[in-house]
Amino acid sequence: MKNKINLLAGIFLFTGVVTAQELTDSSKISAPVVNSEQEESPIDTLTRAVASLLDDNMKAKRLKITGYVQPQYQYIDSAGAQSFAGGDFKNGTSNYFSRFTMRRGRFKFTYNYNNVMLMVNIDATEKTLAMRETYAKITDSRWNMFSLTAGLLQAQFGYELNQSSSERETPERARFNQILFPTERDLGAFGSMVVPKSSKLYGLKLDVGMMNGVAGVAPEFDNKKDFTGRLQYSKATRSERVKFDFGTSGYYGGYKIGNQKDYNVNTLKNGNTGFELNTKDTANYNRIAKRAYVGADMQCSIDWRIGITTLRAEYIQGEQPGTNASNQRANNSPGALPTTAIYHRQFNGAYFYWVQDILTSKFQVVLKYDWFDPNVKITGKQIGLTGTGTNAGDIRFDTYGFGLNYHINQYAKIMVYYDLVKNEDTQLTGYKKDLKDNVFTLRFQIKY
Amino acid sequence: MKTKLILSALALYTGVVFSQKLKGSDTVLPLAQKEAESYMKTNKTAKINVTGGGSGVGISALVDGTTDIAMSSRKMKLTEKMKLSDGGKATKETIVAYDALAIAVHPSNKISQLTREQLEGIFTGKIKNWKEVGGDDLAIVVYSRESSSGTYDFFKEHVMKNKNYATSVLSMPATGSIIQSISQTKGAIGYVGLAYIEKNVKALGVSFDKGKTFVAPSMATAKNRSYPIVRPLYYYYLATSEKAVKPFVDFCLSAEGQKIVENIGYVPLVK
Repeated sequence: MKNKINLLAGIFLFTGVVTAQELTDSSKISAPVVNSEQEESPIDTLTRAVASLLDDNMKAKRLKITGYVQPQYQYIDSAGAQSFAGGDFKNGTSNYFSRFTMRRGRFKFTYNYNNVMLMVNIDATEKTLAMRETYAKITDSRWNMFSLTAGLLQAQFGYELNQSSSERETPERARFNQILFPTERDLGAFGSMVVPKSSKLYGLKLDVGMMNGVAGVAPEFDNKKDFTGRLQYSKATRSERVKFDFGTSGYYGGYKIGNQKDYNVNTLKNGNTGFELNTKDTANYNRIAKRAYVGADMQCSIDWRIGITTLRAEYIQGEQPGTNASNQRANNSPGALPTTAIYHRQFNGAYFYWVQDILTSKFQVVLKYDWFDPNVKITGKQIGLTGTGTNAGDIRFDTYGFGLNYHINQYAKIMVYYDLVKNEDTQLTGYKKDLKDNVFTLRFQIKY
Repeated sequence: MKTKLILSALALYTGVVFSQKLKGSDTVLPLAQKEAESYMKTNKTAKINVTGGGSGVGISALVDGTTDIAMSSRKMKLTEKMKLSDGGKATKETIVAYDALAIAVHPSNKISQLTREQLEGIFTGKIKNWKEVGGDDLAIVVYSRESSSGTYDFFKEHVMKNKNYATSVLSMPATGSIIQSISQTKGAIGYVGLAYIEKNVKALGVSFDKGKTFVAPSMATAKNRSYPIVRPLYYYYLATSEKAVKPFVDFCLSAEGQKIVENIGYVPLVK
């Protein structure tokens, strides 16, 4: 592309010079008395042409088109199994073991002009043509320290949630991120503060946002806003051999549940732990189901003899209102009052990454472990006991991931990855032992 | 006539596209330009295109594949290495020369030497008047490079021991602006590359052993490493393009190339 632009520029420059020469010649022929003020010297013509080219080039540079596509092949242990490795292996009532999918097809248009940025990010796959992000960002032009971003944008929580899927070393985000932040995005605004290099606090970054809390795929319905924030600190050693980042995040919000029943986990009359109907305040139509999370994350990269090693960890805990069958938000992202009862659960989750570049080769080995315990007050064997009201939404999952990435060049990579998924043994039909839901993924990615 | 011009334009175009490209540090730029000129004189078929923009710009260009060699006045950051690694690219690092940073003041200033601790005090704003370091009763006006500059980082780490610059420090976009400002301001102080020291400014001797020994900046003291504020200048290139860029890099490291280093005021490598 750049070569073509250079070629066009060369030809344009050339034609500019030639045309100027021809005009001078013709004017000499048609007008024997030459008015030197009307003539333009070849140098002036060249200067004008170059100035025009530079102007056009500057305008063209404001718009950037980037993105990536991720076609992949997957195989799961049992046909039709539920999966967080890109969705369940079923289509309606038809179950299957293997599939080719276009996991992501991102086309991102970014327009930068001075301190203003506009961004549109489209996802084009066999399942959907959807707007993933559309936002405007303005940065203060005096200190280059503060910015405000508004629109459909990424939720500011933790590290993995905001890491691009094109850069992540594994096919999918940890299960807790997929459940708590189903689209990773929301409608709202957030302000950022990046401490400049001249400050003692250099390395600190603060993001504070206010969102609808509807995952960005539905309009607001309850006037209730969610608040989110992240404070991070980055530092590298003087030798540039070690770099580390620490972050802490918070999320506070909720949504209106109208006159739906809601349940809390308590010790029941029979001594078991289970869900108990919340009898307080049931007449209040404006009741809010609270979402409150806190988290901490750490990333560390070391450049040493065996290649660059990256370690990452993130932990999250909090309270999440879901349904009986799932700890996801009711209706995934409530765009209207819930139509089913709400179950309040205390949860925790975490992930750990070990990413190792093999010396200076194009290969990279990845190990990942993550867990999500949607209901920390109930153990596996208590789930499914009669009268406890417990269900699939209370089961803890542990996922072990093993992967190998091959970076062909800066545009293309191949990922081979295996997810070993373990669930708690419960009393619940269908979940009495570990499910057959391990997934093999072979992915090809082109980034441009 | 037209055909000749078209061919000339195409030749120019292909010359630009297929030439070897160097991009990056403005500090390394004058050195690389001179090296490229000499190299092309003896290698008639070689085409080398050198542009500045800053160390970060050069390394980004290496990541994007739009330069063959990134010139840098600082070590490559780990995040930059990781970007290259994500693109399946292994890099090679070569130190091509050293740059001595001189502390410059107005020629009328009677101070001729400062300790590292005094420099730290001046640049952090703890020392505000020349009389505090034995000079006249005159306010100190401190000039520095902008925070995006590799020189800014080096001075902060090496001389100020990572303390922060005072908010009153005046940031200048280029070394030339610092020289000009110092030459016009009686109480001024700043840091510039040894190659930029002219008659209209005065270079100070410095001590990094708490005042036991002071060393003035010169080619000789920089070469024998007795002058303490010296930093390496780098070329970075991809291991895969080593064969193509090696002849030019080897020329820069040769006796002839190192003579050019010294001629334009940088410090050659010690053999």
